[in-house]
Amino acid sequence: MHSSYVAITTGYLPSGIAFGALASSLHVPYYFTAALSIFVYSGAVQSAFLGYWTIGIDPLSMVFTAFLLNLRHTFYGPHIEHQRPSLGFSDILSLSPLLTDETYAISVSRPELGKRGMQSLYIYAYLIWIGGTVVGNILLKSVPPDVIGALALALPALFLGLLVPRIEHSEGLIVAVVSGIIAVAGRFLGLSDIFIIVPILSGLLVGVLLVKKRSAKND
Amino acid sequence: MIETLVLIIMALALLSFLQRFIPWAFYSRIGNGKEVEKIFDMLAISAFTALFVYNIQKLDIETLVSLAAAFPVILKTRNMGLTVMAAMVVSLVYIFL
Repeated sequence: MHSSYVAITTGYLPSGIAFGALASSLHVPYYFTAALSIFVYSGAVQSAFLGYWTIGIDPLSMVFTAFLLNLRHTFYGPHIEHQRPSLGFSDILSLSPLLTDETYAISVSRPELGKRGMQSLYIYAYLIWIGGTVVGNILLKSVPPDVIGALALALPALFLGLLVPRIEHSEGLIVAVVSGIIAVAGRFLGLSDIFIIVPILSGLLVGVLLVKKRSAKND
Repeated sequence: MIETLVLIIMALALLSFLQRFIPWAFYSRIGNGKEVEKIFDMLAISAFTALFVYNIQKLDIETLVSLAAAFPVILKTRNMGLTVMAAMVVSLVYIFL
């Protein structure tokens, strides 16, 4: 349990700082940066907001981009619910606004984490993210941009740390390779971040086929 | 201008909430077997891989060395916090050397 908090702190604080610093460097007023972290609470959507900020915000495009970026969340809640069928409607209502890539990843990697444990972890992650953004906004004036860039490494390292222990069999490795190749191709082709749903679904599709194949073999 | 931005942030907040809440709240269990559990496992692996790739801000030697340094840490310790720390320390050392 303790390591979940360490993971959230080491993953979120640097990324929050990096986001706050980036927003500050783009002259986004501090109250908008804080409002984004408090009310939207999604690194991907917040980053897209900054992208639109620099080119001029078109409200419909912004909302549509956010919808596509958030599509991956569609699967997160059901996975947690499948692991924890005892979660009731009110629990979901309190947890879902604070569901992120990282809290989802830690929740499914730590099935022993109960309702209370999840609630406190989710609130902690939320506060750390907001705190990081505020600190980043202030720090930009005193910290070299290179250091802030180094902090952005925290998130890929966090997902690496969550991914590796899950690959325990060949099916998992195949899924990771398929998803990874498509994601890397998307990055190299310069496709926008909303493309992330494609490698996720492709990997899932391959995974479903592998699981069905194995089940058929066993029957 | 400010009113428009406030409205956009409100729309984004509502959208983010609904896209997290609705699938979770209205998910009805599609089965109890090991098969469904395994499919969700595959989803997690696929999502973590894509998120890993997409969260790399720039692909340079410093990033590769830092992530390569984190790899044995997670293999040995299985500790996410230590893994992140290892990557960041190597990256910072790279900057200051």
